[in-house]
Formats: sequence, C-alpha cells, structure tokens
Amino acid sequence: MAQLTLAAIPGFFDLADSAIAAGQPLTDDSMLKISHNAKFGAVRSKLIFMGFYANGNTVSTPIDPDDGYAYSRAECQFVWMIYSNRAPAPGFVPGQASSPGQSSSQPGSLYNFPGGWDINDATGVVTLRTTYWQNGTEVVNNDGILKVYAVCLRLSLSSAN
Amino acid sequence: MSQLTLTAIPGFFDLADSAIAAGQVLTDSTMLAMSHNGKFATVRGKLIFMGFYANGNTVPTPIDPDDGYAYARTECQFMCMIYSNRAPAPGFVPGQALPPAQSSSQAGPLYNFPGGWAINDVTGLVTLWTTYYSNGTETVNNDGIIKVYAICSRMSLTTRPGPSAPPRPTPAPSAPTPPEPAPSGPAGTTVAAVSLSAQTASLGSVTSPVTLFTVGDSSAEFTLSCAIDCFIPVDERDILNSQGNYASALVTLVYGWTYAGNPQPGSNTIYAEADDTNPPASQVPASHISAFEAAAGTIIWYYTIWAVDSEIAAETTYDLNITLTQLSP
Repeated sequence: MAQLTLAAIPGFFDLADSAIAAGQPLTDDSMLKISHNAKFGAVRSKLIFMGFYANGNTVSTPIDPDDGYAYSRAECQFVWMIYSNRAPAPGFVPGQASSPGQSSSQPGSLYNFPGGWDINDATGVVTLRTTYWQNGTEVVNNDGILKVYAVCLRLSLSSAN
Repeated sequence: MSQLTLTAIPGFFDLADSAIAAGQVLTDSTMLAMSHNGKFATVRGKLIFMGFYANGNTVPTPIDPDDGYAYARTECQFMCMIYSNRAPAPGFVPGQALPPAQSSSQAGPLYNFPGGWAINDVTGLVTLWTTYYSNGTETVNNDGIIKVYAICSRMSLTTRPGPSAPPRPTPAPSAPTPPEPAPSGPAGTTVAAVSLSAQTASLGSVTSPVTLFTVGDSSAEFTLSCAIDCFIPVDERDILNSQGNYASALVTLVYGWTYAGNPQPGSNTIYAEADDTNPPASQVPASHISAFEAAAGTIIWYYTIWAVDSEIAAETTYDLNITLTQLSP
C-alpha cells in the first residue's frame, strides 16, 4: 500500500450553488474549487500517532504525511491509552514511538488511579496524578505513561480544554 | 487558524458515472451534485469533544460547528478516557469542558476497576462501576469521571446498544450461598418477571430468544435485574467427567434488546457455575443489574445456555430470576 501524496495543500471553498446553476457559464474557477473541495475532503480529518508521553511532557502538533500540512493546536484533539501506571524508566524520550521501559518499582498498590489524567488539547500538556497505598498511607505522585494519538481536523477551532 | 464555515448543510448524491461520461451533456445538476459531495466529504466524519461525565449522566448529541448540523444518536459513537476513578467533587456539571475536581477520598484501594465502564451509544447513558477492597470487604459504587468525545459520521446508522451496567464482581470464595433473588433496583413498575427453579435445559436460543417485554409507543428507562445459580448435589461432587476432571455445570444467561428499525441487537451475558469437590469455592452464583433506555418498539429478550457434564446431568439444576422494572415515563 502506498502513501497518498498531494503536490500541494488543498484549500476549501464554500462554493455557492448559484455559481454552477443552469444558465451560468461553467468557469475554471468553479471547477478548481470543486476539485480542491474533493481533495480537502480526502485529507481533512485524520488520526495521527504521536508517541508515548509522561507527566509534564507536551504533545506537539503533527505534520500530515499526505501533503506536509502543519496542524495548529486548534485543529488537534488528543486521545490516549494508558500504557502504564508507572513512571518511565531512564532513557525515556517524550514522544518516542517505541514502547518505553517503565520504572522497575512503585510505592505500593494502586489507590487513586488515574487521579485526574488529562491532556490539555489547547496546550498539549500532559497531566498525570497517581496515588498508591503504602502501609496505610496514600502516596501521591505523577507516575504514568500514555500512548497518544492526535485526532486532526483541518479548519477547525475544536480544541477541548 | 479559522473555523471552516458553510452557509448551508451539504447533501450527498450517489452520482452515476454515466452522468459525466463522454458524449453526455454536463448539466448543472451534475455539477451541483459533485460540489455537494465534495463538501459532504469534508464535513462527514468528525471527532467532537463532549466534556466530562460521571455515572448516570447522559451525553447529548453534538451540533457541528462547521454548518450547524445537529447529529442524530445513530450518527454518534462515544469514546472515553478515564480521567479519575473517583467521583466528582461537589459543583461538577455533567459535560463541563474543564477537567473537574475529584472527590477528596475513596472507599479503599482499587479492586475491580474499571468494572465495566461504558457509554450506551443509543442513549448516551454513562454507566460506571467501581469497587474497592478494604479490611476484607469489597465496596461497590459508581465512582469515576470520564472525558468523552463523540465520533460522528453523518448519514450513518452506526450506533448499537452499548453495554449497560457490568456484572457484579465475583465475591471472594465463601460458603455456598442459597439461591438468590434478582437484585433489587430502583423503585418503579415491574413490567416483566421470570422466576424459574430447578431448570435442566436451555431456555430459548440465540435464533429464538424468549421475549421478555416489548416497549410501548414511547421510549422509557428500565432496570433489568437478574440472578442465576446452578447446583450440583453434594453427592455428585466427586464424579469425574470423561476428561478425568471433576464434572461441572455452567449456565449462561444472555439477555439483550433489539431496537426497532435497527437490525443490530445488543446483549449482555452473565454466568454461574458449579464444579469440583470443593463446595466453598465451587458454587458461584451471579447477579447483575442493568440500567438502560429503550426506544419504542424495542424487544427485550433472553435465553440461557446450559452446559453440564453428562455424568451429573441428571441431578444438576439451575435457577433463574429476572425482573424488568420500568422507571419512566
């Protein structure tokens, strides 16, 4: 399977029906707009893998492999899966594509988990709060690793929070 | 970056290739269809943030910021991420966009978590089930907060009944329990009930389930409580089956609902089992409560699957209790 590739980033035009109504000359302008709208429809929405992240990391915005389009923050929403409750092992690089090693230990049994895990769609900042139960005491830290995807939608002001 | 804005909601036309074949007149209707199809493809599929929700909340359907299109339930499927195992702190507003504060405490260390968390795509109802384990006791409640997005696809009948309340967690091994009645749910009107004991065969089948209830002419909320239990007599517990293992029995209750106009049924399964020679650990009853909303014409049904080793089949039975309660309207 090949990668879809566009030579240029397509735009979108809200072409009025009246521009292509009966009795009107069909112009190259209208045809180009219809062509661009079809291309835009093909690339507008997308799921892009962003890698693995831990507390305090910032998820960047992606570049579209179809046409090199650079998404703005407002066009991205991040969805994630819990990879681990533990902190990453040494050597972890935020956004790394390969599954990271995790810390070899944790303070105790899981208690409040997740204790308010979120990615701020407006900033990309990852916030993880995790607590453990150790000898009758709750131990609070920021352990955790997420696997993150960006759900991208061009020409949108859709960011969540 | 700007927001894409359309002055009108585009439609979709399955334009035949023959309409734009060589030798054909290119008409305005063909051009309009192509134009609309391009716009429709642009706005059709989308992820829309819906906010934060807790158990019992209902996620509404979104309005598309591109063109004001109001999505139907059948065009939405919900995905969620676990924000917290705890209940929201006071002041929480279902659907709020900002990450909510969570309760300052919980019943104990996490035990069954998540215990079957789901959003019913048909109704938007959020069901969360969480348990804690402290001092040898499992505490069950509906704690939790989720962050929800709607995956929208216009002109789709993509939704199907999502899973409802999860099975009650299997308790730690204990002495054999007597047959239990269906767990009680919220107050309401009992519209259907099944109470059968000493069953020795399956009831209904996947192709011919037993109709429990058919919803009337308007949608309503229901609670379905069910309990199953199966019994191997004490004097049958030392019998081996043909594989050399202790003979066992398993009864599975499959219940579900088929929505009018939607050929895709939804279902849940619970099961109870009994086996081997160790009575305290071997006889496991199961109970379950579901809460769901059902549209007019929905058929709520069940059937059982009875699997018992032939060596003990003559003496082994199961009990079944189901109560369907209508909460509204």
